[in-house]
Amino acid sequence: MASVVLSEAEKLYIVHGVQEDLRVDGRGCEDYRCAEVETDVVSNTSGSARAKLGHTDILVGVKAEMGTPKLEKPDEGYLEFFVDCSANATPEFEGRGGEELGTEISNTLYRIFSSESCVDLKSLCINPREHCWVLYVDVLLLECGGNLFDAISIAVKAALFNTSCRAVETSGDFKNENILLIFPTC
Amino acid sequence: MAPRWPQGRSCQQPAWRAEGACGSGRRRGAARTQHGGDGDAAAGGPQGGEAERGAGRREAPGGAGGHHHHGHGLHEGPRHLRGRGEAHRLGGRRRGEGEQAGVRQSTEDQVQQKRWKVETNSRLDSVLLLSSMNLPGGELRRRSAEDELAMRDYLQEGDLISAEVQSVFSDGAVSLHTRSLKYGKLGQGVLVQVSPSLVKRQKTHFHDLPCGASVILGNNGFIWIYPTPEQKDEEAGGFTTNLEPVPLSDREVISRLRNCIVALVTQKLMLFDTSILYCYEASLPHQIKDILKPEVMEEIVLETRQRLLDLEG
Repeated sequence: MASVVLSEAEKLYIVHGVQEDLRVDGRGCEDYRCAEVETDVVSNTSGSARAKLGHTDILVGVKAEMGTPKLEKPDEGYLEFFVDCSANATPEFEGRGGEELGTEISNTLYRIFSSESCVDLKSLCINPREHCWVLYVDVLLLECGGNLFDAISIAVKAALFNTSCRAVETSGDFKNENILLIFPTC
Repeated sequence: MAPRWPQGRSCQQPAWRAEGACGSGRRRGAARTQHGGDGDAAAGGPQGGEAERGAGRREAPGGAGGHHHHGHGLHEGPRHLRGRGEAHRLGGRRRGEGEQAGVRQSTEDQVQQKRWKVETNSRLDSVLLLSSMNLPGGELRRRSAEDELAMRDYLQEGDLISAEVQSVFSDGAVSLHTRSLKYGKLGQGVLVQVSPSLVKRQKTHFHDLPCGASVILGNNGFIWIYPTPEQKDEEAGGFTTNLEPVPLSDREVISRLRNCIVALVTQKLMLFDTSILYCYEASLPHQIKDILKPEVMEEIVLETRQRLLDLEG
């Protein structure tokens, strides 16, 4: 994360404060900063959101595409995450500096959103074993001001809330061939 | 022959510390290499009182100037300059050598030959010559090798100091001194960085607010809030820091002041002791953490503005 230079006395002051549940800006240890969430910010995506938590700024875009269900879960769609720690956020992410953090965050996102209570994956299925919706979630770190995991999960949740895909029906008129009919979003 | 600081010293610092000066470009100002090394010291030090543009620049946040600095192997170079923001400058006012030109807070960056490189939120880094510092207790300084080596016991990289501007180099870098007992290393407290243009120029920069904390309003935009020391000991300004935990009541006052200052800055109100005090009093009905909410901030600052207008007449 972005590094800050502090004197020893300042560090001591902060640590003592945290021990008494009073941060430097008066918040308790478990209080959040003022959060701003905005959805539908990127036009050419299926869903998007931007979340700001203090100085942390995250932009998430979701694209829905057709794909084949995974072998072990033939009647479910799935999510793919990609986290981009751009150099805009902090100069330490220049070049390949942000890759490790990006991988760590996307692995965490996979674990979080694989639970059934998060996203109804069965609704993403069109034809078991053949067609399903795949949601590609792209997370972009615009500014790195602490508490990335919380901000990113808020942003992803908001983006998924904003995501809509077209309703698809298949009609199996010809043998061994499926024709896909796409209807306008309901 | 003058002892040299082993060049390896600066490399031994953890990478994040050395990088910190340039890495957090948003926070830190332009850093530059040591301006002259031996040559200038031999030439009799900085030319004092020179160039009104230099004087003006001292108080300015600095610009993305295309100023090339002398490479002395310790600089992080152009990255700093790019990290800077606005190029705004106050009108140049001439300041003579030794005249009180303003209190600045700064963070120590590196020790170089007989001097500290100090970051002051200006276009170029400032310099604190060892000869401009008082030893703890105010003893007479003996300029010896042990003196230089012992300097690291008094100050470390990352420390905050309050100092006065002694003179300005021709290229705009500033030379600091801590020759009075009220200056020196800062102990426990909170630093708030604001734009220097929001700090009102006043005669005194050190204020003891009646609410229970003290504040130093640096001309360079660094605001230091700290618990009022109980007794004014003669060793104040020395380099001994009080490391005892600060009581919770003082902490709350300090946090509230910090949030009030942030509120005033967000609403672009000038910072001086009265405005900070009025804002503090206006914020009392709210919880400390609520002051950060935009609507509460507006309300408090509106009330402060009203009181200030009533004060003026």
